[in-house]
Amino acid sequence: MKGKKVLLVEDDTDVAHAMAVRLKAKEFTVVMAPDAIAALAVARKEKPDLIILDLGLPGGDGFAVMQRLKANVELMLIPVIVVSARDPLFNEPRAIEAGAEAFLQKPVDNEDFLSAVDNALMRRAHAQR
Amino acid sequence: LTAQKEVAEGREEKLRMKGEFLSHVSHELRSPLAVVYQFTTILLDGLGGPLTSTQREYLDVTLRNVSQLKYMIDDLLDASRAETSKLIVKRSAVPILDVIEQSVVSQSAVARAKNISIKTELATELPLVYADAARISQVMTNLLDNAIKFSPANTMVTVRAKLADNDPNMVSISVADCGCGIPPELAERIFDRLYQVQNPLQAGRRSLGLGLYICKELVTLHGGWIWLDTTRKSGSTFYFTLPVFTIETTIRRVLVRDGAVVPALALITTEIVPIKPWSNERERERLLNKVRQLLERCIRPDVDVLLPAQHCPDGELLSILAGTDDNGSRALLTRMNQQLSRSASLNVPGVKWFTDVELVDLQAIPLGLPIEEAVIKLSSQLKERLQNRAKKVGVLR
Repeated sequence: MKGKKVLLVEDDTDVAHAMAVRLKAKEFTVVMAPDAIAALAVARKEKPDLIILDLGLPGGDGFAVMQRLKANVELMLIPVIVVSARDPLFNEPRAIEAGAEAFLQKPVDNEDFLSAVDNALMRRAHAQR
Repeated sequence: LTAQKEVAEGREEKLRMKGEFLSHVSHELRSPLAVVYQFTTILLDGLGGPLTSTQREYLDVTLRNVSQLKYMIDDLLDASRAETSKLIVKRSAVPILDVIEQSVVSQSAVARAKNISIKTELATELPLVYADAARISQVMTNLLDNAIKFSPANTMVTVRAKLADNDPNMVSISVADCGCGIPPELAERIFDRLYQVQNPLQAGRRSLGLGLYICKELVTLHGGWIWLDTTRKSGSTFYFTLPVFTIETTIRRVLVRDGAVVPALALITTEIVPIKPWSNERERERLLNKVRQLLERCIRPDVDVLLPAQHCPDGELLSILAGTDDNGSRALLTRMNQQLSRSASLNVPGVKWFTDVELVDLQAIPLGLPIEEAVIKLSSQLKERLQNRAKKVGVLR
């Protein structure tokens, strides 16, 4: 997965920082967006291989971001992993229905996090072949 | 009467507000906790540079306490859910011995650190129970954690499981320690919310006093019982029971809603067919568990039920009984297909999978037939249908 680009959409800079450290240690390139509007702008500019998306965001929640990603021909195929502190009971099915690859609840276990990232990228590589 | 009603309504409103408050607070606490957890593990994994053994030891202490804080927040949320009847169990047919063994393994490190050994005396074979595996493992972890906490060093905690003596439709599980015991007059109160037994071994040890309360709520939601054995002279023994899984009890749950027979019922099946026979039993079980987890995410708690997997000569069959009509079952099928097609372990060369819906004809039940008789009639029909369906597994279309 060396060199793959991951977009972190997270308004809590400390949470984003921690995830970035983990991803950079696995030699991913990391770009960040702190709110819903920046998320789409950065996604269009950077064309990431994967998006990690928080749900509670300033300027519109993660579901609104996902809707716009999935409506954009250039961005719709980028896999999305939702990472949120919200209750998975209602939000996990909603996220999957909206097109997310996986839902992880904060605090996320590192192994779960990295394996979800690997799985999402692998499936994307598989789909592009 | 109106005044009484107003008091009751006021009380409910207060409970609801308290529930919302607790839920809000625990979610807000989660985020900073996540950051502490993340950076602690980042340091422990050496991503911030090499560590001395003392630094590692101190970080281990930090991590242990962060985990404890996380459990406390989870308990807080569960307790507030229980109070507002929002605690939900997602039940299916569960091999209870596996759940018990996993909980014992996950607690054994804590026990070893205190020189306490965990012994298991489990019946060699037990029927499947109708339960939420994650919630039962939570109950087990709570009871084991208490037993270890209250035990002096160099003693033993014993976990037993067997069919209940006085009810063959229940499995009975017990956790016994050699601690100082609990006075019989407190046997009921220890299950109260926020009640704490003073622990002479660990004065000042913090806990919220919610563990046994949540255990009781969870076991009760399963239709089981939990109690403290007051007949023993030394140590404490906690017992809890869980209902055995049978097609009849499951069908009753799905078929009867609000005292009446549901208008429609569907059988939704997932076939998993290996192109070559499984290389070993473990590979088969691993994949089956994965699919089971995915399917459990798709179903609605207590409206749909995932039946035990059927092992057929040419593959595996997983069936969901759903209390829904044609449209509802198509929606469920779409959710299932989405989940299954995203699974990395299922979408590999060498494995094929198929999903399918068939509606169950409820017309065959005469109008006005007592519910119990309807349940029996449908159960036998459904058993036959599942057997026939199993025969078709692996017949590629």
